[in-house]
Amino acid sequence: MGLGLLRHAHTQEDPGPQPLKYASLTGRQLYAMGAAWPELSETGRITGLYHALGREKIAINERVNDGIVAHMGFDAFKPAALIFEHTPYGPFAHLALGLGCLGPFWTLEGDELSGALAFVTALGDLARGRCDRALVGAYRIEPAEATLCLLGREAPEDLGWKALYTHGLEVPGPWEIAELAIALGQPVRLADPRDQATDPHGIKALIAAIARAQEGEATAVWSCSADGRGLLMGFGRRS
Amino acid sequence: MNSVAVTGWAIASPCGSDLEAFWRHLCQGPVQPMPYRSEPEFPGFSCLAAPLPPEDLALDPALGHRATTLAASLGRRALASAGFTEAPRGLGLALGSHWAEGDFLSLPRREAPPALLPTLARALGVTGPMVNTPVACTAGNMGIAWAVDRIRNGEAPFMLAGGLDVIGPMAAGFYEFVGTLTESLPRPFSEDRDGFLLSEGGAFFLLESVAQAREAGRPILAEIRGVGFGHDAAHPTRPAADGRGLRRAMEEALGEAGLMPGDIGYLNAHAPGTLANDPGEAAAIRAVFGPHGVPVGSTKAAIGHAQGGANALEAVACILALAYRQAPPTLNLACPEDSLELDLVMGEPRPIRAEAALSLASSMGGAGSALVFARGDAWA
Repeated sequence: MGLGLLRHAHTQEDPGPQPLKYASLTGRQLYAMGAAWPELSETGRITGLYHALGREKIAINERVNDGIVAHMGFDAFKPAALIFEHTPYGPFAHLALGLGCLGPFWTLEGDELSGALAFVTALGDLARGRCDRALVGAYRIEPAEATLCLLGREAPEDLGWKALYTHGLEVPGPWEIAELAIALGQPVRLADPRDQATDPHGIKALIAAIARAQEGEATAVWSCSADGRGLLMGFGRRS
Repeated sequence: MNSVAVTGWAIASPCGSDLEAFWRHLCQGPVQPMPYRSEPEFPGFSCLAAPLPPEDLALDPALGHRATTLAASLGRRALASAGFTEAPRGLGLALGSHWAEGDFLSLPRREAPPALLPTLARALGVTGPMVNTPVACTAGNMGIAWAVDRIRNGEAPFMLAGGLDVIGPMAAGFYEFVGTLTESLPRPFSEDRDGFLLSEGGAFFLLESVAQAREAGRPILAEIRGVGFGHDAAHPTRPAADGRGLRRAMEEALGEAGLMPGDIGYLNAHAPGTLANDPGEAAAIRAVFGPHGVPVGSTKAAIGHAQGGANALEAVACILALAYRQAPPTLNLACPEDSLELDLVMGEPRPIRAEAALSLASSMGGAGSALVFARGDAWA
């Protein structure tokens, strides 16, 4: 048993009413996924939250600002609704309150690298013992969809990982892949380029890579932004 | 080793960008609030605020927004303070800014400014790890903590880290709406406290490993020994009565630092001056340090609440407190709330002998964080 991926889910559906107040569709989507995982109802565990925030931040701010301007002020809102429905981290606040997550609460804004940054942070916190479990996720508002996964120490195999920050690299080359392979102690396959249109944070590609690594195929995911920032993450099974 | 060295810094505050003047204001005199109006967005709306001096409000059109302009300025100045005329190779950036460029949305509606992270990467020459941590009033601590871990993990040789925010109509309107702004002066820990004073600004630090700093002969302003986190998971807008999130954050930070509560000579509290904050935070402090167990102060009384920039300015306060061996007083504290059972530093700066300080922060929704600083070898 070791550190690894325990659960993952993705949804574009409306889960209907949830036992939450002032929940946006995203909040209900995230909560419905997390609440279905029995590991999160165990007592005595500390769960951290790792929210990958991308360019949707601007769209969220635009939406609330338009509402404020249209109503000539904040009077159309309720304070708690402002937090939950209209701040970028609001849906993850629902997870904290709804699922009793007492550990670190991270929002990691990094454009196309945000998913990788969230996993780097979550795996680091788990390794340091800051939490026993980590919920890593991201959402989009157009279309409305959410992705969430649970990392913890009850995986069948122990996950090794390595993060390599780059700048100005178009694609990872043999040297970068070799560096990951040396760190992981095994050959590493670079995953196919992810579809940024449907996976803007890279969350889905990273989850898939971790799942493959846990099955024995060490895999790397490349996240990059238009201005040259890059983060290559490799995952492999520790022997 | 857990310690990370602070070898460069720069601030922007309502009392200016000079560190000695900043310390004087913390100890002797608060900034004076002035009216803030957000015409034409909210006609007739006004609140009290403490803005940056006009010379620090300049906008660089190439960067597109005041927050980005301020971040670039702080970054360059922090690098210069450590002797760098250009970005060292592999420099990363961890910014803690909640509103950041978001206030472009005010009226009249303008085009979206250039994206935050690419703009700063280009302006500062960042080629390493880069993130913004917009977790409201604990954004700065989260950014600094993220940078600390990058150094510890060997993922970057240098990190610029800190937090900042500027006052904008959406921010001002939001805080006024949720009823957290003072109508006179911020009075943390006072029986008659009625809210915080909205301010702006922030600070950046240059971080590197202690070994690297010593090998290069760069004076160490402070060491960041421990970081810690927790969440109340209690209420969307009010802290938990037992302060469980902050308690967990402090215990974790002390544990990482390898220190006992008695090793802390000064605790810089979150304490913005709102009615709701102080009981829960005091409960957390008592749980870790015991009643009246550590000298506690709030610098938000002196300089207001700079939102995402608050934690970074409070980190500067902790570093200066260790440097000068004095805990700054909490200003405007005429009638302290005794039921908090805190050892409040009041009136005059208090001499401290300990070599470590702790900075505490929490955000609306319940997220909490703590940083432990140790005195650096730069202060003879």
